[in-house]
Amino acid sequence: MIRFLATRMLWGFFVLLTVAVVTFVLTYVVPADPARAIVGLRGSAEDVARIRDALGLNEPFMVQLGGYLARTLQGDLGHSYHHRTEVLPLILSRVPATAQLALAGIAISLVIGVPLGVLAARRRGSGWDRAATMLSTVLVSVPAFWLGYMLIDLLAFRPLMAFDLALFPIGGYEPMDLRYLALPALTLGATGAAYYTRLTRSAMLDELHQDYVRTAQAKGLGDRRVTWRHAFRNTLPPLLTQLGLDLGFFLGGVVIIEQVFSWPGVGRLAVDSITNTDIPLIMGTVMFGTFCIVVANLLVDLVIALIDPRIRY
Amino acid sequence: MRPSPRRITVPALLALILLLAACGAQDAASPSAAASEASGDGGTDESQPASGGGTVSIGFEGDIASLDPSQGYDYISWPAERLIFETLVTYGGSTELVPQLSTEMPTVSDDGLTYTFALHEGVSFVMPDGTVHREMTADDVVFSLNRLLSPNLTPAPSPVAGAFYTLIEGGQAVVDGEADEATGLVAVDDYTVEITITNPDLTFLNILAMPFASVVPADLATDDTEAFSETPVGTGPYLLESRTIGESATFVLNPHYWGDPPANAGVEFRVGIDANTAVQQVEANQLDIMGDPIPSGMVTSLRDNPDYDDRIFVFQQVAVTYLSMDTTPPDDGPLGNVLVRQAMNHAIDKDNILQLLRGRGTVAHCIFPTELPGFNPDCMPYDYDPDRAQELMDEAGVDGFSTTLYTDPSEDSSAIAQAIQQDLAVIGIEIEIVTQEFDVLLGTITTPHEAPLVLIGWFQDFPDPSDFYDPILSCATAVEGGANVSWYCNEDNDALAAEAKGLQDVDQRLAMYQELEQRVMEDAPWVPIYFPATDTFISDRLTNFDPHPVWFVDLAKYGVSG
Repeated sequence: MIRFLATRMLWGFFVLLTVAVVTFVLTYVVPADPARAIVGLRGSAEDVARIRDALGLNEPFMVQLGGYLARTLQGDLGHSYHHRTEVLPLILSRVPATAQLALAGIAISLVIGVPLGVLAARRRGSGWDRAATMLSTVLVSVPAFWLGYMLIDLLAFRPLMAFDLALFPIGGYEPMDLRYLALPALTLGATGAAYYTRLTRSAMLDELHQDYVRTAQAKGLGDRRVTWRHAFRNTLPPLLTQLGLDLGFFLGGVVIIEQVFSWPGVGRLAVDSITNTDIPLIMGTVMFGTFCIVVANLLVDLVIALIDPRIRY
Repeated sequence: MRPSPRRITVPALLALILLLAACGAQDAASPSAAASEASGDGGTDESQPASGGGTVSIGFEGDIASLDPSQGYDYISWPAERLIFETLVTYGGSTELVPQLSTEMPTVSDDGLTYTFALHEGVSFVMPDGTVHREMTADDVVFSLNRLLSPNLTPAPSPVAGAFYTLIEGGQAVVDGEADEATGLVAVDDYTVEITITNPDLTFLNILAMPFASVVPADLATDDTEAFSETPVGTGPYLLESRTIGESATFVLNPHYWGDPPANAGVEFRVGIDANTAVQQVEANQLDIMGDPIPSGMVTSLRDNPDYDDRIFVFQQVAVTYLSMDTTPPDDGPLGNVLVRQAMNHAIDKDNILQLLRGRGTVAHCIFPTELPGFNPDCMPYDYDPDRAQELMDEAGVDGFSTTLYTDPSEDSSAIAQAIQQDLAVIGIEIEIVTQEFDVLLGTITTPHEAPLVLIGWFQDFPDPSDFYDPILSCATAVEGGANVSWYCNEDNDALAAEAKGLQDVDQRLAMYQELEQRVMEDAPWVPIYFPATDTFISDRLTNFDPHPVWFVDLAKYGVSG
């Protein structure tokens, strides 16, 4: 296990290094000049040159890349050009908001998606199955931004204007406040629920046709016990793999939903960094997102090993 | 027995979320925390003077870039900086300059080079916690301008020190790192400052009114601009109470403010707010002012609502959107022919373009916007006349050509570019439209002759016609990295501009700029398209709102009712 962990961490380091180099190259070759972005059209060529010099942008590419990697290894992701502050504390300050949204959204996805998927698989071809499939198709098809705006309009704005009924706030964020969290989490969860319904249904159908299920039924076990204690347990590895990917991905920023709900998370920070040609922040948010995905994948592998006795490292 | 994994994962995750969320739910205010903040009821410090009503809130999609006045250069940072800092002179309710930290407008030497300012006595720098730091003196004024010029500011020098402030004698040497202090900045005594500039230029006072020239305390404002932005100390009517990047910044009244108290008890900047959400928050009186324009998709429905007649403000910006033409193409191409450029001026139907933009602005016939001192309503050298345009093309001996138009990908720019494409096709000019993200576009168009045609806008830095000639039409800026993207250079015009700049007689000066405008239009480096207007939406409870012609918002003047 220790050897497995060491190997995976080493691979994780190489993934981060590769992403850092590739992202750095991409931001370097983008034709936008961050110094020009700072001074605007008004600044003279001399102003641009001064800013470039101060930001170290006139150094040769390899010097810039080497410097960036060396500083990153020491935990220094540089200073944001636009926000005029250190990148790492800025990103970390956004993590609680994103984490709340990601965890709540995934929880809603699981609570809706998994039982619905199991139900659809258990009653394959029935009205339940068709309804679950239709619902998941609709939810997958609905753009998240549209659903978000509709939820704000129907559940927050209109009740307030028509009946002076403040069910939910019109966007915005308060730490650890369920009223602010509810609508963005529901938007994220609804889309996720559709994926989990499909995934669970497919995995359960595979399991329900296995010999061990037939054996369990033959020896007289009840449907519920066969479904949940036997078949469902074996659908967990693909579910957990997806869960890990989602968790890592969402912790790196839930871009559209954060934008629609004016939610100050990592995703919106990433969008702003691109809009402002804020290269240190672009690098920082990409590196942070990658880090989250690498760690989440590692954790998933460990959890799967814990719950599946067939898997040992 | 090992518990089933499902018993651990899903319910535990849910429980964790609900527990965390429930901890904060009890703090939720009614009808919403945001509304409570906006109402100002109990939302402000008890130690504040009770002038005016509650807190005025303004929302932006973007964020305040910096609260260090040497750095912030955008429409969000400036109104925030102006709450904390003050300048020697500023604008009153109009484009007219009035004294601020100076007791009266400065005396100017006969040669127009030396400005002497008498400072108010008893003006204090006040710390964010409300304690008085010390009195402001002339040394602070001198320090502030030297700091602005300094190349040692970290992480980067001021973005526009070179563009505006090297007019101060010895300023260039400071910018270049050859001197620590500009020779033209002198503290005569504690309350008198003398500033000498290199050339007679009345716009120097406009430059001093820009927030860059705010007075900061010499002993607190170090070279570290990030640190000063976090703890800004000025002489202005407000103090920074708190700021969370990406969320909000709250300003409370300065209890030791020397001037007239503001009309409200505080200001809250809510940043990172989606524009559609901001509209709904304003409708529900949870936000007082939309800092961004109303999203185009919501304009019609809001304007059709009679309840909002007195809550939607449309106001003309001091700006011009124009089609710039490369007047000196390297291949001696047709755009270098003035007759072709004049033909293009006749060929474009600007009324049609304005209709496409739902009437948000005024057709531009010349360079200076309608709200700019020096605007000439009689300047209309080229009417829409495709036949005349074709005649000019024939006269030029040009039987059509193909070229490329560069612009940004915004909805308005795309609509205008397509209309121009159709209009110019009538006289045989085929245009390929290339859209680039704005920061990329800036690089393209400031590279000599890279972009034959450019559709772009110019917004005032200060309300003076020189700001619509020097940076974008003079020979000095028709160089790589300059903003004269038509690469237009007429030395006779430059001489006229220099003469106009130094004149003390305002009427004579403006008349000279009008002559300059006519001359430039004869050379036709641009097709002026329109002077854009913008709009904003305010809450029902905001009082005294009136868009400012320079600052857009003058937050200290607005109150809230109810």
